[in-house]
Amino acid sequence: MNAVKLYCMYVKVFFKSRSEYKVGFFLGILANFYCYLLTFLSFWIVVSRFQSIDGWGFEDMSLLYGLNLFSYAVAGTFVWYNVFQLEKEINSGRLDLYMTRPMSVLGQLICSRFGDTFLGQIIVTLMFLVNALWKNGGQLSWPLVVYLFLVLAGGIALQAGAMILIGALSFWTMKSEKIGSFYYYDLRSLTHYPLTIYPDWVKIMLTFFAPWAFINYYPALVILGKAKTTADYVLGLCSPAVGAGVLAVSIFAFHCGMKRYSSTGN
Amino acid sequence: MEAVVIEMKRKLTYRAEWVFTILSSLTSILVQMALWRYLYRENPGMLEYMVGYVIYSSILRILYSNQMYHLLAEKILNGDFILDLLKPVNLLWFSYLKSLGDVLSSLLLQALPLLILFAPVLGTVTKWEYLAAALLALLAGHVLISMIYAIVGLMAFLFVEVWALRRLTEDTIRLFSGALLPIALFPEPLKKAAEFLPFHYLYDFPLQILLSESTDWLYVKQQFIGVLVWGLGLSLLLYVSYRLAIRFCVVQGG
Amino acid sequence: MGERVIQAENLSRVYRVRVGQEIFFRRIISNQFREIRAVDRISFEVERGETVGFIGPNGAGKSTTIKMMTGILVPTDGSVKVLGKEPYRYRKDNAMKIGVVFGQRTQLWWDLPLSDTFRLLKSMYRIPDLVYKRNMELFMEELDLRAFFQQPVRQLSLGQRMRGEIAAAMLHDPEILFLDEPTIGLDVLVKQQLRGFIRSMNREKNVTMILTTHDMKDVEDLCQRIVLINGGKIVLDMPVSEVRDRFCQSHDVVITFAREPGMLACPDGCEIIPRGKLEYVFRVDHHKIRISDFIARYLAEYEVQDISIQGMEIEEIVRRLYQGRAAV
Repeated sequence: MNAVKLYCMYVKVFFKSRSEYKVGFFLGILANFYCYLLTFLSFWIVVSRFQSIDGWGFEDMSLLYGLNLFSYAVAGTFVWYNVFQLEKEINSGRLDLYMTRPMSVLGQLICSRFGDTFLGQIIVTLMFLVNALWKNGGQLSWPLVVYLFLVLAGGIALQAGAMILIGALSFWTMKSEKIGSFYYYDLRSLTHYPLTIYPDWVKIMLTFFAPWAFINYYPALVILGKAKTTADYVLGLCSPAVGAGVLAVSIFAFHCGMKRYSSTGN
Repeated sequence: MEAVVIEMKRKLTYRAEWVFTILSSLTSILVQMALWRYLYRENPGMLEYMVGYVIYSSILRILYSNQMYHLLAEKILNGDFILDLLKPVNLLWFSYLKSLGDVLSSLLLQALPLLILFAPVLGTVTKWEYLAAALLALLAGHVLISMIYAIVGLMAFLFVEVWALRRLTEDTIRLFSGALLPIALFPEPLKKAAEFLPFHYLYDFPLQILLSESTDWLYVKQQFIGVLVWGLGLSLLLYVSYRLAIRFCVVQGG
Repeated sequence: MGERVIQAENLSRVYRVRVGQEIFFRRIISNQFREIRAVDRISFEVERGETVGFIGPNGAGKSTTIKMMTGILVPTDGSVKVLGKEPYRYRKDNAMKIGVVFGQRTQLWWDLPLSDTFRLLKSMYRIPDLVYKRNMELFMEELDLRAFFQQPVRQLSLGQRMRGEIAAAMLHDPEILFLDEPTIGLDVLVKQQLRGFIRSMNREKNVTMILTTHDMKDVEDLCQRIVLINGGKIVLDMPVSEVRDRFCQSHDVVITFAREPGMLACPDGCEIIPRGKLEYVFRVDHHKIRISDFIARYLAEYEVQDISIQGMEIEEIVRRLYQGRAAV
């Protein structure tokens, strides 16, 4: 797997170059760790006051939010810095440079920056995820564990795909930051809580218009055994597939964007 | 005054950005409202309180969006700090005015539409009699947060990675100021922590005045005294940091 | 007639810009377009091993042409073929065979020594170990990289960095090397060293070189051929030696007198440019006056301390061409 070897090489080189900024590296991880620790804490406060949110206890909330944050952080490690913020690469002229090299441009973008700061989120989220799964230990059967891994992989693919898609917007319009950020961050924030607390149309929007419900909500329904309708259950099972689909679409969109970039000039 | 107009013009040129910023605040308000609507579905009084709380909290967020950190920290880090000291204007004051311009323009462009949009709701929920006290509390909050961020920004002279300090402060404020959840909801140990820190003067305190049915004037007075104490303490700290920053940078040569 | 490595035929690049204006807060956009012909139907060929200098005023279309040759930009009309293939269609294949040096942008890893960048490039271009070792030895020698090879790139001077850039671009033995303002900002010694290296690469490995520059000394030292692009069109395409012969109308005779010469005879065809009390530059149009006669006369009539003859520099020629003063 030549691509994997090359990526590992890049990561090694990246960490070597970071070794001079060790303090910054650890501080970045600490800051992210602290930030999301407080988020989990805020959930805990609400649940401890109200016993549960529509039947979702703290471990359930941890799982729900954990799936979201974990897949976000892992996806971000690969893709956030250079692809989500594609505009910066275009403006600096580095994109042109990548085009003169015999390697896929998307590949180069991913390789040239490893999102080390996301390690903070990953650590915090693993803590709470593992805790939640441990507490629910009795209900976890082998198929469910396999499903869990599939869901995580699918979630990572979905989030990476979303980041690539929004980054690719830069090929068409400059200054697309706010719109993309709204679609991805703000709408996704709705999935921090169980979708049952919202009116129905929110759930529909998050399934068809902005498929963020497939990252954590439907999978959580399946894992926690909370799926009340067959539709919910099926959607939950399909979640990894949706993730793969979004990723495929985003890569295609990226290539279209590149074509447009070289055709209309820059 | 010009600073405000300039900032407004700048923000208006990116009209799409402006719209989506408001939409973003709107979404977060709606998410929180949905949550409280569910949690307090049996308690209309509390629900009313929380709806007002959530809306005002978002608006206050705009009030407290402070640029003091950026203005100071960046200047120290890239050496402009020294150059600015040569100018006949006090750098702190100058940065404050710039930051004020940004805040005022944001208030006009983002807070005002939200206020207008939610006016009917807010109208019934707010306790107008206490408005004066609330405004005073908000003013105090504004001063406090400007000082806090100024101090954090000045810390740039101590270490390059000062952004981490800012992040930590920001995140702590997010939870412990009552911006997300009223402190009354916190379990005991956290509640004590929150009252110990000065951040609750930013959100929790003014919002209590604004939305509570009846106000315990003794409590309010106590809080204002607390504000005063913290204000004095922070100004001292600010002064000291400022002097140290100057001495450090001058010695270092920027 | 050597192998044609680059062929451009009626190559065009047109940008269409929507016409619009701002009124108050609204932007009125009409359906009308304005066409900007950045590159307008240019045709040229480059043979293997040639060193061609692309010159022209800023915004004339040089970088647009280079972008089309390196596969970054797609032409709107016409075609360009590099080593038989269109670079924008076969981007990766093309990338394997070309090297690019940007004078103003770096392709080196900033925080790390050259050694790390080179190792990454070795992987990316799939350079065999033998070739890698051989080239490394060569570059270490000719560009004197050993001295700073282990230092992080951000600590290097501009000259050292440029030497690293060129080595990096040549590491995979490209057949064509594109250099975009490689000597900008460099001091005289480094420029010389760099030019020496480029010349020797051209000689030893028969690498075709395409160079864009504003420094005419680069052109004189390195290029066999000049292509001048102005307003999107090729204004001039000829060997450097011919350029001088065709455009050099006059010679500058610089005379330093022993004493103030007083009134100087100025025949028709001679322009006098004083350069101090005792030094004068005589721009002599050799279509009208024979230089030897001119010099003989002055030597006879005046006491001359120093004399030198300079042909019109390429720089002056090109300046006139940019301004459209010289007819082609």
